[in-house]
Amino acid sequence: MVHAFLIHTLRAPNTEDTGLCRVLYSCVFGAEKSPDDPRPHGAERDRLLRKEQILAVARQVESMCRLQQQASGRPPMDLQPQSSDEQVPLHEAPRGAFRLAAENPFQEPRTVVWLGVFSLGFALVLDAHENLLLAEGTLRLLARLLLDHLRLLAPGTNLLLRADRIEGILTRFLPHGQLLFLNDQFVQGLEKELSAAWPR
Amino acid sequence: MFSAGAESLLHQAREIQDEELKKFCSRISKLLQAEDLGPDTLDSLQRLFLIISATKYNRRLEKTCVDLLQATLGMAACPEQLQVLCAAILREMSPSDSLSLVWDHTQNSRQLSLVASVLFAQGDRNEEVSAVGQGVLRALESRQPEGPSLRYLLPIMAKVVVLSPGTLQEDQATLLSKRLVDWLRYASLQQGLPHSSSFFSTPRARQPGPITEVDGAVATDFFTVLSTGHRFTEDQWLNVQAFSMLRAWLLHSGPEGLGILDTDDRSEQEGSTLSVISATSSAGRLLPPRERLREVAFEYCQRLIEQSNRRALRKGDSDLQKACLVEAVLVLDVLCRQDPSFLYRSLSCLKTLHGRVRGDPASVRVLLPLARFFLSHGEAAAVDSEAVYQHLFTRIPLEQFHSPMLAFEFVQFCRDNLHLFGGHLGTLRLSFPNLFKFLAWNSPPLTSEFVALLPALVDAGTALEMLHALLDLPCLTAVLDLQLRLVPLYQLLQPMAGCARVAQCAEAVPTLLQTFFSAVTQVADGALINQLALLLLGRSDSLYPAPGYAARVHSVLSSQFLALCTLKPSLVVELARDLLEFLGSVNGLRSRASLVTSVVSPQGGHCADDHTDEAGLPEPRPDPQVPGRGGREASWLSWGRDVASEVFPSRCLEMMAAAQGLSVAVKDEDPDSESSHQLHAQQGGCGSHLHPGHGAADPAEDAQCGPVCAHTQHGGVQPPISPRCQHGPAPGLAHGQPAGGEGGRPPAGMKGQRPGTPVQMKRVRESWERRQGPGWAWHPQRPMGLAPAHPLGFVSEPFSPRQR
Repeated sequence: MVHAFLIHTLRAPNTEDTGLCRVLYSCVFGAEKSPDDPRPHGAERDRLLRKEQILAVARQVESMCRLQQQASGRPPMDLQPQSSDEQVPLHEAPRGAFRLAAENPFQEPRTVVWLGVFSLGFALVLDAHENLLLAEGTLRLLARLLLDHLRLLAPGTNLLLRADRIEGILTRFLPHGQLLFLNDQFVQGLEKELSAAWPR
Repeated sequence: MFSAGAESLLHQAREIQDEELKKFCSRISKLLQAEDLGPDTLDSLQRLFLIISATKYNRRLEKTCVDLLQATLGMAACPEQLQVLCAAILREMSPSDSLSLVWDHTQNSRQLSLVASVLFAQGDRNEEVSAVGQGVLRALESRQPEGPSLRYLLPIMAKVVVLSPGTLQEDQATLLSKRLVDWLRYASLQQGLPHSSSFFSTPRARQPGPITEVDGAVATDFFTVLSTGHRFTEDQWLNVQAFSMLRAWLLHSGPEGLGILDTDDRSEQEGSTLSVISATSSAGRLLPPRERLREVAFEYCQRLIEQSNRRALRKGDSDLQKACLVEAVLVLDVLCRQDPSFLYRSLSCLKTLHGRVRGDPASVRVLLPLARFFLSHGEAAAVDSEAVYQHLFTRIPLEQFHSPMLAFEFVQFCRDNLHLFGGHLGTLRLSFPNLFKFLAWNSPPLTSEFVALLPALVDAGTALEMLHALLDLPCLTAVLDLQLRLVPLYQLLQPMAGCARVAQCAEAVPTLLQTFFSAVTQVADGALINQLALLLLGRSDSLYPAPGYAARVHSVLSSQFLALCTLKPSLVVELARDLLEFLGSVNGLRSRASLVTSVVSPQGGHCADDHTDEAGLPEPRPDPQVPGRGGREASWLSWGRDVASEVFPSRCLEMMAAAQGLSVAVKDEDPDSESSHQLHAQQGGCGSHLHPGHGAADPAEDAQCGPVCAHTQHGGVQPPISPRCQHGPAPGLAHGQPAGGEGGRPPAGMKGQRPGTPVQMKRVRESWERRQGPGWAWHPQRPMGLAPAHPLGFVSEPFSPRQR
C-alpha cells in the first residue's frame, strides 16, 4: 500500500539554486504508529515529523531527478511546456525508484517511486516489497489525471488552491493508499464519475 | 506551472498572522453555520487548506471552526467538493488532540471513507484504527441500500489490516473472507447498465453486452481485473478492489503469528504433501472460508496468467497485464507459504510462465518475482534453478542495465533474497561484473543498495578482480555509454572522463572501496593481504582520469594500505624488496631519497639486507610516533606509513617532475598530434592518461606522463602503465594509439620487463590475463589498431574463478 503521495517542485538541472524545493501537495494515508510519547505536545511533534519526512522525500526525489537528467545528457528540462494542448509523453519522462532505510526518515523501511514532469515531481512512498510495476503505472496515471483535470500545462495555473480536485482524484484512483488494478475501461469510468462530480 | 505567483501565494500562506487567521476562521464558521455551500465557502476552504498545509508548524484554529468542519463532513446533502476539503483540512491538522470525530453509521459510505482518512491520520493514539475497522465491518454487515456503497469501504478495510494486523477477531475475518470469495469469483459477466436511460432509448440499446477480454474476445471465464466492458456493475468494482487488496489480506488478516508458516516447518510440509496432492479443486466448495479464499485466490491467479497471454488492444491494458503477472506470482508465493498443498499446481503453472516470459524483453520485470518464487520453493520442486539464475544474471544485466526501474528492482531482489540463495550464492558472487553494470549506469540510487549488498558478494577467490572492477567502475560507465551510442571504444573513452554520468559513478567508488576493504579483510589470509597491498600500490597511479577521481581514490587507498599494514604489520617486511624497488630511484629524487635513507640508514634504520635477526627479518627501529606498541611492529607500521605517504602524495610527483626537469611533459596543446606522439616517445613512451592525483585536471590534457614515468622507470614493482615507460620509444604508438591512453584500463600486473619480477606481482598479472581471455591484453607491443577479440571482453562475461 501507499504510505504517502506528494507533488513538489523540480528545479532545472543546470541553473543556479535560486530557491528551495517546495512541497506543493502531500497526502499521508494513515500515520506511522508513533512510539508511546508521554510528553505533552506529542501530537504536534508527530505532525512536525511527518511534514519533515515528506520534505526529505521531496528533496531526495529532486536530487535523483536532477542527477538523472544530467547523466542522460538531455537538454535541461523545459520548465514550461510549449503549449497547453501538448500530449505529455509520460512514458519517456524521467522516473526512478530508491529505497529509504528504517529510521531514515520513516520508521519503517520504504521505497519511493518518482516521476518528473516539467517542473513538477510526483512521488509515491510505498511500503517495502510493494508491486513496483503497479506503483509505477499508478503514478503515471495520477500524473496524467492531474495534468488533464487541473490543466497544469496552461500558463498561469497552479495547483495550490485546487486541493479539492486533487483529493477527488486520489479518493477514486488511490483510495486510502490502495493501489488498484484498473484497466483502461475502469479508468475511463472513474474519470467520467470525476468529471460529473467536478464540472470543469 | 510553478510560477512566481505561486511562490508568493505559498509565502503568504506561511506568513499569515494569528490574528488574521482568527478572523478568517470566524468568517468560515459563519458560512458553514449558515450552511452556505456555494463558491465562497469553497474558495475559503481551499485557502484554509493551503494555510494549514503550507507550514510544518501547527496552526491553532478556533474550536468552533474545527467543530463546524467536522459537522460538515457528516452533513447529508453537502457537495462532495466541500466535504473532501473539510476532511483534507482536518487530516492536515492531524495528529491533533482537538478533534472529536466519531464513526457514525448513519453517514453514507463516501462520508465514512472521509472520516476514516482523518481518523487514520491520528496515528492510532487512541485505537482509532481498530475503531474504524469495527465500524467498517458493521457497515458491511448491515443491510445495504442500493447504489455504490461498499466500494468505498473495502480500501478502508485493507488499510486497517495493514496498519494494525490482528485487529480483527477470527469470526470477523472469516465473514469478510466469505464476502471476498463472492466478489472474486462470482462477479457478473454482463456489462453494467448505462446510468441514464432515457425515455427515447430503445430496448435494444439498453441491453448491456457481455464482458470482454483485453484482446476483444468475449470473456471465457469468470470476471477479473483484466476483463473489460463499457460500464461496470457494483460487484465488478468490488472484484477489482478485492483483488487489489488480496495479498495484504492474505498476509495480515489472520490472527497474529498464523499468517505465514515457519520456514523450518515449511520445507518438511512441502516435501510430505507433494506426493499426495490431488489436483482437483471440486472439493473446494466444502472448505472453510479461509481455505476457500485461498482456493479462489489460486484460481484467480491462474486465470490472470492465462489472460496475460492475450494481445491487449490498448497500451494501458498491456502494462496492466505485466503488473498482474507480478501480482499473481506474489500471491501464489504467499499461498504456497501458507499452505504447501498449492505448491505442486503452482509450480507447473509458473514454469510454463517462466518459459513464456524469459524470451520477452518487455516482461523482464516479471522474471524477478518468478526467480524469487523458485528460490523460495525450488528445493521442494526440483526446479532447475541454476538455469533460471544463469539467464537472470547474464542476459538481463547485459541488455537492460539502462532501465532505472529494473536496475533498482534487480538489485533489491539480490539484496532481499540473500538468505534464500543457499547453494546458488556462488552464482551470484561470480556474476558481480554484471551486477556492477547496473551500478555503473545508475549510481545515485544504487550506491546505498550496493553498500548493503557488497559484503555478500566479496569472496576470497574473486577479491582481486572485484577490486579492479570497483576501481574501474567509471570506466565501465563510459564503456556502457559508448555501447549504447555504438562508437568505437578506445577512441572516445578518454574524453568521456568529463561526462556527468561518469562523474557520478566516480563519486560512488570511494564508499564502495571502503566497504570492499572492510569485507575482504575478514576473509583474506596473509598471502592475499600481501597481494592486495601490492595491487593497491600498483593501481594507485593507473586510474581513469575522471576529474578528482584519483584524488579521492588515493585518499581511500592510502588509508586502506595503512589498515592492511596494521592488520598485518609484517607486510612491509615481507614485501620489503618490492617496496624498496617501487620507491627507490637511482636519480636521488628528494622524496625518494629520504625514504630510502630512513630504511637503509646505518644509524638506526634497518635494511632488507643488513642487520637481520634470526628469522631473517630486519631489526626493529624504535618509532617515537607509535608509543606503546611493540617495538618491531611499531617500526613496521611506521614504515608502512612512510610508504603510504610516498605513494599517495599530494604534490610529490609534480615536484619530482620539476626536480627531473621534465617540464616538457606538461600541457600539451594537442594530445593527438604527431608531435605529441614523438614527445611521448622520447619520454619513454608514456601515452599516459594518468594524473598524479592532484586536483581536477582536465582529462584532455593527458600529457602529464612525465612524473609517472620518472618514478616507474626504475621500479621493479611496476605499476600497470609502466610497460610503456620503457627506455626508448614504445612501439605501437605509431599505430594510432591515442595519446590520451585507453582511458584507464591498465592491466593489474606487471609485464615482466625487468628481471626478478616478484612472484606476487606475476600472479596478479596472470590472473588479469586469465580474466581478459584471449585477444585482450594490455600489451605494449601489440599495435593498438588490433581490436581485442571481444570489444567488451572485460565486462560482458561473468567472471570465472582463477586457478590457484
